[in-house]
Amino acid sequence: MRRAIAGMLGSCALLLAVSCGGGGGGGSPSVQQGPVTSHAVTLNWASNHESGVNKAGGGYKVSVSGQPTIDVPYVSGLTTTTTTSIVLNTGSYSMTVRAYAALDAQGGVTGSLSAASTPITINVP
Amino acid sequence: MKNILSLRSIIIAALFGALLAAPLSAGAAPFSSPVSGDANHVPGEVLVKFKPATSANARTATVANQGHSVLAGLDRTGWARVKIGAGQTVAESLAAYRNDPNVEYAQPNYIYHIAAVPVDTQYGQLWAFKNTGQTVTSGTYLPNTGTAGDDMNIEKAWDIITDCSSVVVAVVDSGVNYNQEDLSANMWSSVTYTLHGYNYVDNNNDPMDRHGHGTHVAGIIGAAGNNATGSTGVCWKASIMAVRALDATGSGTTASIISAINFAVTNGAKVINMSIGGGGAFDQAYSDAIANAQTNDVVVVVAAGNSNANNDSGTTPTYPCNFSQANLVCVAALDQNYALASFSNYGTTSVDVGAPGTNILSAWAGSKTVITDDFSTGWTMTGWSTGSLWVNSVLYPFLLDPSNFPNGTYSNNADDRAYKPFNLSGNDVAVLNFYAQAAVFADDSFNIKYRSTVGDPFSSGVFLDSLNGTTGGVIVPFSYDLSPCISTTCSVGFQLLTNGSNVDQGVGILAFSINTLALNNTSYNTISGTSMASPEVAGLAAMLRAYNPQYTYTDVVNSIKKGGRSAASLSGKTTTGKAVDVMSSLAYINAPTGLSATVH
Repeated sequence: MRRAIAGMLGSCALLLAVSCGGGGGGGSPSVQQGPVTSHAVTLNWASNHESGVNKAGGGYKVSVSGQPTIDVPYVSGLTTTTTTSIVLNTGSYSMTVRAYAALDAQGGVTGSLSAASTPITINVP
Repeated sequence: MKNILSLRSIIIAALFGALLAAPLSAGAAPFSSPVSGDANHVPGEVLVKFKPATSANARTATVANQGHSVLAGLDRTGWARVKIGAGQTVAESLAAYRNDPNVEYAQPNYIYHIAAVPVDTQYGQLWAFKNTGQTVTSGTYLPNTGTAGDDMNIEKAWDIITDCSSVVVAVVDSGVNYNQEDLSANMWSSVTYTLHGYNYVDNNNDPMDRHGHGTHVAGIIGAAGNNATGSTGVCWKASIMAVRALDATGSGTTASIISAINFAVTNGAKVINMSIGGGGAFDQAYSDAIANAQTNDVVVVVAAGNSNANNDSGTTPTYPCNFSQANLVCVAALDQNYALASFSNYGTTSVDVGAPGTNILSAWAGSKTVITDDFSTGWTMTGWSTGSLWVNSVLYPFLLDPSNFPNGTYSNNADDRAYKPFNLSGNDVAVLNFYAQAAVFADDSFNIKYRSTVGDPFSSGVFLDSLNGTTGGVIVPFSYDLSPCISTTCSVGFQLLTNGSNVDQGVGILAFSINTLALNNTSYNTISGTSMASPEVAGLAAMLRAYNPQYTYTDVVNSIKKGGRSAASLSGKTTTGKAVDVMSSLAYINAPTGLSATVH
């Protein structure tokens, strides 16, 4: 258990250098009373069926309110990973995921992005 | 069951000259597939043009700051071909460079081919695929000229995929001439069904087309492309399953159609095209067959109908278009200017999208001829007479019994006959067509017979039909397969046979014709109808499934509907207000589903 907590703090410390510090900006999580703690949050979603999402140039963009967009690009294998983790401070967060591919509607490579998934809300204690 | 088929059809094989500037041998593949298989640029690379004042050190630093490396200088100062980092996309890298003050512009390292335009001889007539505003010389629907750009936007998609043969597309129709030169290479078959499908009209393994309609539909979906022959389909390579449910007259039954659907589902089709339709009551068995296709993840694409009617009015539903299964896509027809075709049905809850459906050139089952007759010569008549009557302000020649039809009554105890021999030799199919208004008392009969030898068919002939009752005071069409009568002396006749009691108005016959078909492997035809719009979309469905092998019917239907482009003529006429757009549908990405989060 102690190692797990340390691991989480370590993750947050790493994340703080990028984005954890403010947690602010548009769509910031709601502030709750009491001590602020950090928790690892794992997101999962169903794999998209488009071949372009599951090959080089494809992937997913995960949006968490108040956080930078998380890019989950295709790396290798048959499908792009459909999970990612983030460390979040205490608060309520809205989350969505979009899929993308390199091909665009004009036959070029400026890329296409899906509509957002149905949003979910989580409360980080 | 009424076949959705425009009768505006004339064969004119307008040859189109070579389309490519580059020298190619006939039938040679004009280009190869893109390196990445799905995009027209080199993956993992971008080209960067730096501003003139940018120093060499600054250029190097700019690239390094992105985590990239310079592959080459493109033989000019300030230019660089850059290798991007692992996990980065070309689009992201371009965005980063475009925001860099040292960069004048950045772009993908595009891959070029000879243009993705097939060399098929009649490609220039296929406005659905490339509308240049050309005149479709064989087109009888007006206008037969159009607006450049009003097309399916398919040529860009052909840079990405032309081979849909991994997806079996069933054509539930009048059969397919599987020997036709543009189709023979793209027919499905199996160990059991070596003739490419099944025939539910005659209940055998040979689904040869004895009408032409099914062959035309099949060609729109998957005529071999870029083979320097005839037309091309949406898919240049395809796997067409022929399932014959409509007879030589273009008619089928619930039994033949649902058997055909079930055959397609059982034998692996993932797309079914049904360019057929009919009004009337809800058909539960038909609906259940489509629901079974849905259960088996099969997309069913259907025609909206050709009555210029609102399918949602409540009085004129058209099935299968008006069925509500989620795997069903119902298609309206657009003309060469992307106006709704004058004949096309529509409906804001039943009709989903529009697609080109006028003056569509495609394969045909053979050479057809039409023998018309105005009853003026060659008829042997007793009791019948000829006359002229006005119909919708046009004077038509009629065959009448009694002579003052419809203002008099026929005689009791009559055996009135009219017949004439026709030379139908050299054909494989013959169909008798005429229109009639009739009112015949229930204990009398209006008979139609033939005999293949010269003489009176009512002495020793074969019944085509025996009717009584009334057509309700209106003129209605009649159609019969006359193929067993094919000979040099096929005698066709009408008889009014009455008893000694009760009389009625009698019979008036007009627009007599015999349509013949001599099967061959080189015929094409240009016709109009929602029957032609539907297979444009079925071909797209096959292409989407071939490009995205994991696609479900839901994904396919979403991509077709949401990937379409808005067309003013379809607004308020369809569920989407959109015309299909192949490239846009191919690039469409469904929103992810099933998002969940776990807090640790």
